[in-house]
Amino acid sequence: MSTIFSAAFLTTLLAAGVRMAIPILLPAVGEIFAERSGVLNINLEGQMLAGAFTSFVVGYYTHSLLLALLVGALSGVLMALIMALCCVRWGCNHCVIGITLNMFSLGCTSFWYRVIYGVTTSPPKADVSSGTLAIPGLSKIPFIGDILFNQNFLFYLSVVIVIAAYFVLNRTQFGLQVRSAGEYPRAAETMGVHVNRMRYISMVICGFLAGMGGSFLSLISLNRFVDNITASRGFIALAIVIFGKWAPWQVFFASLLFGTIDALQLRLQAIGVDVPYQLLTALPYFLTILVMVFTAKRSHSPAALGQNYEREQI
Amino acid sequence: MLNKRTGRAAGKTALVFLISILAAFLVSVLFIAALGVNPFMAYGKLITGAFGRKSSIFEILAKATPLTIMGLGISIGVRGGFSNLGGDGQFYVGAITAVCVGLYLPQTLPAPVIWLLAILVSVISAGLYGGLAGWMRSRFNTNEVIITIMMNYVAQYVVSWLVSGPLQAPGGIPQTRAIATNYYIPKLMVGSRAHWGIVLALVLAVLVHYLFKRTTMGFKIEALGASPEAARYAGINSKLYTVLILAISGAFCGLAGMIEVYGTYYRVLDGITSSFGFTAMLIALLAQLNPFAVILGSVFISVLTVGANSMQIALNVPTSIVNVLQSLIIVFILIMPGIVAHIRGRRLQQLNRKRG
Repeated sequence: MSTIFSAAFLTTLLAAGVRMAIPILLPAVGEIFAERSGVLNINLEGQMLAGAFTSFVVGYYTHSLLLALLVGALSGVLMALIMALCCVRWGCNHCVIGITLNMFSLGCTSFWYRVIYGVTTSPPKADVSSGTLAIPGLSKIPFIGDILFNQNFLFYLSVVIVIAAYFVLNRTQFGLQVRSAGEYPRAAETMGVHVNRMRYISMVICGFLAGMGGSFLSLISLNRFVDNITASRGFIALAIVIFGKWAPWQVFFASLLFGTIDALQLRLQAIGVDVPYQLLTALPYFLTILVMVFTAKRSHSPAALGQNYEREQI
Repeated sequence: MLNKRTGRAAGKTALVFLISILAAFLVSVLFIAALGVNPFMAYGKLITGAFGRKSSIFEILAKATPLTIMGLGISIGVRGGFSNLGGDGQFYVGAITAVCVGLYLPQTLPAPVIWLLAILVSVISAGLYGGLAGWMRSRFNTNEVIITIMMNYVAQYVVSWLVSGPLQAPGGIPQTRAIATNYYIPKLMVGSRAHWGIVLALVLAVLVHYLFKRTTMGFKIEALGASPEAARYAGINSKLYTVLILAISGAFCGLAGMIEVYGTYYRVLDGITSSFGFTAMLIALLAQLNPFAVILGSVFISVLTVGANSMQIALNVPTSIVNVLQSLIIVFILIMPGIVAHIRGRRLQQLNRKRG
């Protein structure tokens, strides 16, 4: 028990927690945009999966982390655009089409993985740089330096993205238009807002971030791709958006909490505490249920979330 | 008697299905061709693999049995307006409780008694597990999609622990002991994999049909699914029905777990369901929630699965092509009305413009 409370343990735990928050945080911030504009993007998981797969393939062949991340993010955008087309243009039920497209993404990625790499006993690894970046000076601060400033560069980028998301949503005209499209599309339209255009743009942003989050999983977290690598992190991100009340900062801290819980259960498994490892693995999922139960009632979703908007024909 | 309108509507539905299936196959043909495999050969292999031998036909029936039962359960949920994606978790709960009945009750009990008890226990336990999601939905306003998916993992890992800990059979493999051979559900034919559980699946389809055609409960479920506000206004206890709908949906999935244990595996092992829950959702959508179409949909998906196995063995085409195919079919079915309306709207606009 004493090892758990030592400073060294705590530092590595929190540092790992911050790292493991990234693949939930990025998609969750993307989902804020999608849901604020009125699209219930259940397809988040599929967009992450697409990003995880394509970025792995690109990383495997080019060894370039940045290029791989970019391609991963763009494939997330592609999935998001398919989703947007189906529900914004063709008026499908967001939930139903999202579930179906998740299955499509799962099928596609595992199909092409097997086509490219075949069935191997030792899974191929993408040989890319880990992207860890110690910030000069700050990383030397004891305790905090190791946790926050000796991180993967995507963490710094995520913080920038959270700040940007907060600013864009709350302080710009574009943000106002996005929010109005998700709250009261009919009124927004009369004020000259292109409701469906806002939804397309928001979905592109969402897909980009979700694809990037997925890429982090395959390129940096695991350094390889396996079937269903996301393991429903997309759905945890959906829960976190509700937990964080559709606000970037709250979602940021909620993601850190979840990342830390995830890191904790892995550490506990590694130490070999007297709890079956299966139950520890189930912990983040169980926590998601608890969090939803305690917060769902008090957080109010955008009023037009999941409702399609049809412009009246003249 | 078919009048003109229903006849035309049925024709339209059939046309939508035909186009969707064709379009999905066309896309998958591109996938297979990109592999450098002749798509016609691949699909030839799929068909001969699925129908070539008597054993493969029984294999299809064996696969379709749990899928039908789960598909029925999921379709009840969707009719009531809830997407129950927790089929796998509920399956696990039903399977593990059912196997305990067979393992730990006095082995002198006759098989029908054990079956009945196992059915009862699996239905109740999985019903409670599904109902719990419904209760959280009605009491705390939680999104049932997220909750049921999370509950899948909880059930899966708890069962995984049970079969590699307290309930593990000697031998180191993560599985329970097998139930006694006299408790096996008999096979349709000696040596085949298909068993009499399929009859139960067919009976359930009739029951679900009856539920929605003849009972007020079915009517209330549909009313809630069509419009929760209107249903509440009409005096339907929507909170109670939310719990009830997801409980029934879960009970079906748990029953599928019991049937799979007593008919196919005779024990519970780690990973006994391979995303049946998601497949069952696709089947329910494919069947447009019609109970008899759920049977057809399950058989169709099972044909693809069994055929794809021999396609993979013979030509190295990964079986995940089935996932691509079945999800694409449904995507096309879902977007077709939207596309038609879109084109119509555009044409109308043009006409209006011409008229000035």
